Amino acid sequence: MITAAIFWGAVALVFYVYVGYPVLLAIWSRLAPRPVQPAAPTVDPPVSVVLAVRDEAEALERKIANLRGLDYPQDRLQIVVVSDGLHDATTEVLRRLSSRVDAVWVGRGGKARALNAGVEEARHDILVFCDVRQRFDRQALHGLVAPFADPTVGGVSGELMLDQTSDIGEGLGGYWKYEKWLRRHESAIGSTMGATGAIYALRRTLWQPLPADTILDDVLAPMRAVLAATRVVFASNALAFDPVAPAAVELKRKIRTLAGNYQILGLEPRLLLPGKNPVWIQYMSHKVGRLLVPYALAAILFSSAALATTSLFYAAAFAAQLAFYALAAYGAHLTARDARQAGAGATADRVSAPTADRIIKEPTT
Amino acid sequence: MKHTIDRLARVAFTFVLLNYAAVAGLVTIGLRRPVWR
Repeated sequence: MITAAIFWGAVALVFYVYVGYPVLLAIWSRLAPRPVQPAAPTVDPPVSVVLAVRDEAEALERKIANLRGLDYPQDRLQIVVVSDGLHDATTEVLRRLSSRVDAVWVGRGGKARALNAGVEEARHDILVFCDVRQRFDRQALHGLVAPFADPTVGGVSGELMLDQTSDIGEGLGGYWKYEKWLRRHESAIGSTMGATGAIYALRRTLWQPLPADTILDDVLAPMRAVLAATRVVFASNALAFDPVAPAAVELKRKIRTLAGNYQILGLEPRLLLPGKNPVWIQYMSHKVGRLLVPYALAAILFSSAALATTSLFYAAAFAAQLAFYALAAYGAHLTARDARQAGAGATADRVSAPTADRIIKEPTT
Repeated sequence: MKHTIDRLARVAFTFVLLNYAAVAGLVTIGLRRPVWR
């Protein structure tokens, strides 16, 4: 009896997280949408882009060239690059690129510390955060800042487009489409549960320095904006592009993301309180639910195994799961084979050569 | 047919990988290993 309850409880959890919650969102967003007030045709607001890098000289050159090539008034675009590494190559690149780049060195201290230093250097009221790897679409900044015309909006997440041309990216591409669908609908009824680290923006007034060991700045900072009773919305016209990495690299990133989701529960326990978190239902369904799913999957497997001798249904359920995991093992084999054939390196988008010059802070270490 | 099975296999692998990464994430947090993206 207890084993059957575990089986059905776990099935209900997995079903709710992956199917029930999206259905709830679809209905909710249709019945009670909260559209963002459209931007008035005013001038583009000044923005500060804060970019933390660690020993990524070549990618940094591409990124600065990409940012300086955006369709956005360059006199309204401050770029702050914080170097959290010690490699001479990065320092050299920053010296060479710094005509319109403000460079800050913090020594090795982690990304959160680098971002804190970068925000201190930022001059404008809208902060844009990104990573060095992904390329922005030329119109990305317009799309990213437009929702700030609505005073209830405290943060905006852009949309990350994954290169799905490889077989390696096929499964991840499907997962990412599903994720973006959730974010779009969460945004339509209030707020997304965090942002895309590759491209997001925040009002400076809502920024709080991150704890030094923060793993997911792109969830913690936006969720703090949500806890401050503002909205974090999804802008599907603010695009960044990223090649799909080999499965092993993607797995590392995913582990990091999920580790960060655990950590945030400790850093901001208010997220777990329905009276404190304005998007409590969505947060519990999307973020906390995902953390619980693997344990539910294991519970389904073991409980159905225990019940297999008692009924044909449980035996069939157990056999179906074994078949599924065998299929996944075959998928792992195919992915490993593809990775070997493709080589370790993922394709990277190239952009034209950079400009250079002013360094406002010398390395301190 | 084989193409379809291969596609399903990749999707199944992705599903397993992404979900069980949460367990690895918990272990990572428990070990307090430093991370950088």
